[in-house]
Amino acid sequence: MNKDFKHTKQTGFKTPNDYFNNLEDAVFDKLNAKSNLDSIDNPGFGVPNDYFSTIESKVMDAIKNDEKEVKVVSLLSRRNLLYMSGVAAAVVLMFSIFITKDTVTFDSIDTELVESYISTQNINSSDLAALWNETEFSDFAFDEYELLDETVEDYILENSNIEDLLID
Amino acid sequence: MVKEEEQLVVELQTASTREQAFRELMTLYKERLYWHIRKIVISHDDSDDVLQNTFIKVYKNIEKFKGDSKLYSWMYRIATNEAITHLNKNAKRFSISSEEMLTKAVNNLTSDVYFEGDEIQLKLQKAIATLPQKQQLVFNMRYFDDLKYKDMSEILETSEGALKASYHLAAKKIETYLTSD
Repeated sequence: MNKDFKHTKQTGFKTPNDYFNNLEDAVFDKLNAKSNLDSIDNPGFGVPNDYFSTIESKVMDAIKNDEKEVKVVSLLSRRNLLYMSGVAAAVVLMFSIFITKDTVTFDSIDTELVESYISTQNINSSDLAALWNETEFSDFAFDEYELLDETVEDYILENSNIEDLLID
Repeated sequence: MVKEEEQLVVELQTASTREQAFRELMTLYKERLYWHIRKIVISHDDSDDVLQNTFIKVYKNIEKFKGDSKLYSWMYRIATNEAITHLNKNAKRFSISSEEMLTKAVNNLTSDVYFEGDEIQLKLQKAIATLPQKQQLVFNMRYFDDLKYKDMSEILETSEGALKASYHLAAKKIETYLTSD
């Protein structure tokens, strides 16, 4: 190694003119600078008069209304439609045997006709449940019905509150 | 959990005392939750909707509360999620991003009867709206709500170190915005 280089005291760095003369002022300026944020202690929002005194009763009313609505069972889910169409088809078949000699098959029944019949006749799920016994249920070939992911997603999005499923 | 809070949770999770305990819970936390929500969704009407939805959700899910965090942290988290979801839903309705939705809401403050702030307070809201969502939450919770980083960590499920860094960045950006024209 070069001996001169090892013993040099000069770093080669420079400062701007009057840098050290102005340094105290610059430091005190920064110390005294008032932050714009310091002058703001609240966001400036207001509320209607007596707003907070009404919250409890509004929420309890909403909860009670919600509890009443949950008891109403939707007839229009696909699973219910499947059960109802099966029962309606059986009913139609029964009538057709007594009224006409022509053979009616399940395939010949129009699904829309069955849905319309169920809607107009106010058939509810308790009525349907009474028509099925355990043996018939277990024989039902659920495995044959392959549900697409898209179908499941659509059902969940239309029929439940997804946020409820996300709370831990 | 504080002992009184333990007792409140027991009463909330008991059918016979649930309603009364829930009313007490609402009275205790309604204002804190409201102001937290308000700083996210900006408008009073939206805040009112979100606050009610938050309490309804708390009521429906109170039996699932296991006590592994403070009750207030749990509720605060629900309120935060509800507020963000509300913002996102409104944005979708107008076919804009949630950032644009927030900017729209802040710009409407000039004609909002429930905004009593001056020019600098309005500018601060605009500054906050320019931040990424998490930084907005951290800034509001630390600067206006004075929440400890430990509590914020529980609510936002983020480390204290990350929250401190986030706050520092947010404050710097806001200062820059406030000093700009």
